Amino acid sequence: MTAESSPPLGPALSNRDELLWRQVNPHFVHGGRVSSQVFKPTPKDEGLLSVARSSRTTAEDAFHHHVKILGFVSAGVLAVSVGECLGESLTSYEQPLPDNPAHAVVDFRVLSDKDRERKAKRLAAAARSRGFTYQPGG
Amino acid sequence: MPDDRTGPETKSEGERPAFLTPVFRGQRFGGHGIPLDVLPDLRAYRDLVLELAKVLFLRNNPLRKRVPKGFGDSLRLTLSQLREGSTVAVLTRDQSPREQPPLPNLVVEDVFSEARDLINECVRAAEECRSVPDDFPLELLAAFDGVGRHLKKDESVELRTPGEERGPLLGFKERKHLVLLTRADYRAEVELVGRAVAIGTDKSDFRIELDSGEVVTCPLAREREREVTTAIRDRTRLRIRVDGTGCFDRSDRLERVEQIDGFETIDTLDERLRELASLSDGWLDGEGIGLAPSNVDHVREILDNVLGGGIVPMPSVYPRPDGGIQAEWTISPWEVSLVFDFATHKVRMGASDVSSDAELEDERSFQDERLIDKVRSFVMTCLAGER
Repeated sequence: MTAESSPPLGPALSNRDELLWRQVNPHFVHGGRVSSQVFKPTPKDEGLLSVARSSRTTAEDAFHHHVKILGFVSAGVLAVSVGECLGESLTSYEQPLPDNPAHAVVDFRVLSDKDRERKAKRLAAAARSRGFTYQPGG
Repeated sequence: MPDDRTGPETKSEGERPAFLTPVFRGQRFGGHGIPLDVLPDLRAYRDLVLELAKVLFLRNNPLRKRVPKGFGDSLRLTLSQLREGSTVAVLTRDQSPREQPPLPNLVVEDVFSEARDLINECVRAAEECRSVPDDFPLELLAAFDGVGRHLKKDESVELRTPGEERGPLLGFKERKHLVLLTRADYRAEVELVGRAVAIGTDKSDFRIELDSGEVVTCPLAREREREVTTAIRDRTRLRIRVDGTGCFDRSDRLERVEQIDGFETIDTLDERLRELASLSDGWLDGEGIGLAPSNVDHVREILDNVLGGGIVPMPSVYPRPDGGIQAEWTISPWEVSLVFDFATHKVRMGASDVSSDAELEDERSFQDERLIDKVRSFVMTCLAGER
């Protein structure tokens, strides 16, 4: 999701208990452990980490959207809460898309690359402790 | 599978009568040969025929206390032919007069055929879930543990006798059924992959922990001791694959490995880096630069030295979208990473204490003479604080 092509950010998410589904690229899984890179925006993301809101969709539906609609690959779905992001001073925003009303982003934009890596590690640790919320065939 | 249900053939080449025509069924037998691994099963069959023939002979000759000298030598079975896509073996009896031991005044010829037929009845009973024939000695049922042991679970052998169009099928189910009639365990082929975790105190065995968490004991040959010791010392990195014969209880629980036929050490670091080296551009949903083989080799060399044969545990290793590689450890409460950055030719070390705000960071050039020491020391610092 690029800032240029993406719609403007909506309101900040405030329900600290709401979970944010994040797809896991299979290359970011080794020996069953998921890389912290899953929670670090890639260059294409321009600082906005794409997630899907648990108040709008299930982890399973989010997975199928990612795989069947967008045509990407996923090893499964991890989750962090809005509160866990806020605990790392990361604000999440609504950003519904025409084909994906559940879409939201976690905002890493103002952070340096090092800070992004640090926070990604902490979010990944929280998500790993929760375990996969959906895995195909699981 | 070729159609092998043609008319029975009772003569093999050279006019020697066929004693048994085992027809092997299964994927491995669709080609042009019988795997050597399976040949011991034919020997086990021969041994069973011989033992059963001895019992039958003594039963038919109640005044004798033992079988005549040369009795065993008179059953010389030869694999004389492979037919029909090599799934059909022909066993003949070698009855060369000069090799035939003298068995004066005794009729033994038929007792081997009688034994063969009784074995077939026994297998047929198992196939049809019936009781085994009363005249089959119970003490010999355990011998089925060897007959067909090297067949895989989806394979079987049909024991076709001369004049029969169809013989009974001996597969895993029948073999297990027959063995468990008189014993509490049975043997079957196993292929295990796991981590070597310990050597027994008398060094006669070692233990593998499977991915399921189950720990299995395996025999340890002296010449393999060094390899197993290395695998134990570096067990976060090295896995082992064991092929052989396992002993299972009635519930199909693997009790132990009794014999190892194949042993292989798997270097999971090497395996993982080969995977990463095969990534091409776009591996991350269209993003992600492919990893240059020379860069992967460089990481292999650095990590190999850092891990030091088990001094540092094996990390998880991932590609980076920028064409670099990232190694990570969870060493509670630390989340540790090494970023191999090929744009700057540096290793960036980072550790975050997820229970506090504490962070550790360092950075070294690939050319730094103390790179290995620094990286190892960085990880060891986190290991020292592991909770």
